[in-house]
Amino acid sequence: MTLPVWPWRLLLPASQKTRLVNQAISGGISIAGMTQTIVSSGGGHWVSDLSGINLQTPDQIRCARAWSALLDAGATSLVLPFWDLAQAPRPTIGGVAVKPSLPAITASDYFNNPVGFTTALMSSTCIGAVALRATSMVINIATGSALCGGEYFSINHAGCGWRLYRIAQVTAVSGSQYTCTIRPPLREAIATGTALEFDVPRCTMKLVAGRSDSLDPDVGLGRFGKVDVAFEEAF
Amino acid sequence: MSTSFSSAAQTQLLGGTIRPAIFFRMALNDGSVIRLWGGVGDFSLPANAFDAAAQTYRGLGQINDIPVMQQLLGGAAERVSFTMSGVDATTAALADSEANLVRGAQIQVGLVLFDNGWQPLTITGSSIIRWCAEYEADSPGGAHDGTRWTISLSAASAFSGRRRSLISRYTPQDQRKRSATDAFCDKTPQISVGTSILFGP
Repeated sequence: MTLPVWPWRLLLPASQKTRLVNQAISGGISIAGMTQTIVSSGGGHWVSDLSGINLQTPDQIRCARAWSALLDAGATSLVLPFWDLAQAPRPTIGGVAVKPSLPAITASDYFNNPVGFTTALMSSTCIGAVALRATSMVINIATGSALCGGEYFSINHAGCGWRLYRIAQVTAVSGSQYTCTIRPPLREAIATGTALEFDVPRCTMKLVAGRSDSLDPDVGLGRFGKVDVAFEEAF
Repeated sequence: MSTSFSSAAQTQLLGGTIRPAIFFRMALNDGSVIRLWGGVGDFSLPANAFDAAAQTYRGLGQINDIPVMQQLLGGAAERVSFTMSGVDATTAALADSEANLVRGAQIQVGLVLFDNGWQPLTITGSSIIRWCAEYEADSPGGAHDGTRWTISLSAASAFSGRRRSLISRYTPQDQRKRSATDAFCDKTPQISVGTSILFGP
């Protein structure tokens, strides 16, 4: 099933907080005052808050409403692109990061505008097959700059679709190959040479239950609105 | 079933942070098996005491109440209830329409411990899972509170069944435990409905 892709350039948030949520509970306090932490979520799932999406045109207000209707309070999943280019390992020329060229979009098309850049900035693949739930992999950066840790990338898995990963640590470097630890554990096994998306990472998400009406704008003066939306990883 | 933890598992259990995951396996009466685990995403569990080959456990992350389980000692009866909240209508419907598949189904609950890199530890022997408890399902149920579905499953350990057969009998072993030379019950294994037993020497 082809999932709708969030109109990342029509509904731009002022800020976006993306984090991996792990369920941690306390094992109680010992007589010495020490606590034991129990993390039972098996690696966690993504939650992303898009704050301060200003709706200043009729198209933007209609777009938010249309998406609210389409997502059915979280019943319908979507592909959410992440704008994190400043932190991505993009290539440099003369010490200056290469700027992307963006394809033209149509403001009145809320569902079919292109995602990504006209020409991909970065190109990378994994080296060797990586097993389901692995947290370590070798990444070959064919085009781009060095990985440091903290970067996002995503994989379009054959079974579970787009999934987001964050590089935790680079543990070894050999030329353009970086051995990295990643979180969360790999959602699906991948074959050697699988493409990794650093340009515009994406993840399959849905509206957070309990905030399912967050895309419905409170329209001021009949023309302006602002919404804050929260998404969580969908399975 | 081994009862000892590996040294790696013991080290984690004695430490400040534990990364456990609960695995749930239920073999339905039609031969199919429901496999779930408490984390997120799929988990491929290698062959173990109950699965002859590696099997995928679905990580719905929806088991929201695992009962306190007690090690069965001396045949003490135990009855527990599992609940899952936020399930979709299809899963909830299973609890009602497929109840006949669930009653009497064997349930196993297991424990897996993860290391700091979220890789499973060898928990006991050469296995990454330790099956901790085994139950027999008896009454599934579903509820909808207007916003979410909850399904529950009542289960019991082997000795707490509420069903009793109409006929019970002493076995020869029972009687000889009471009185070592008494042959009074030696022929009871031959008893079945419609047969006449000739008592006496």
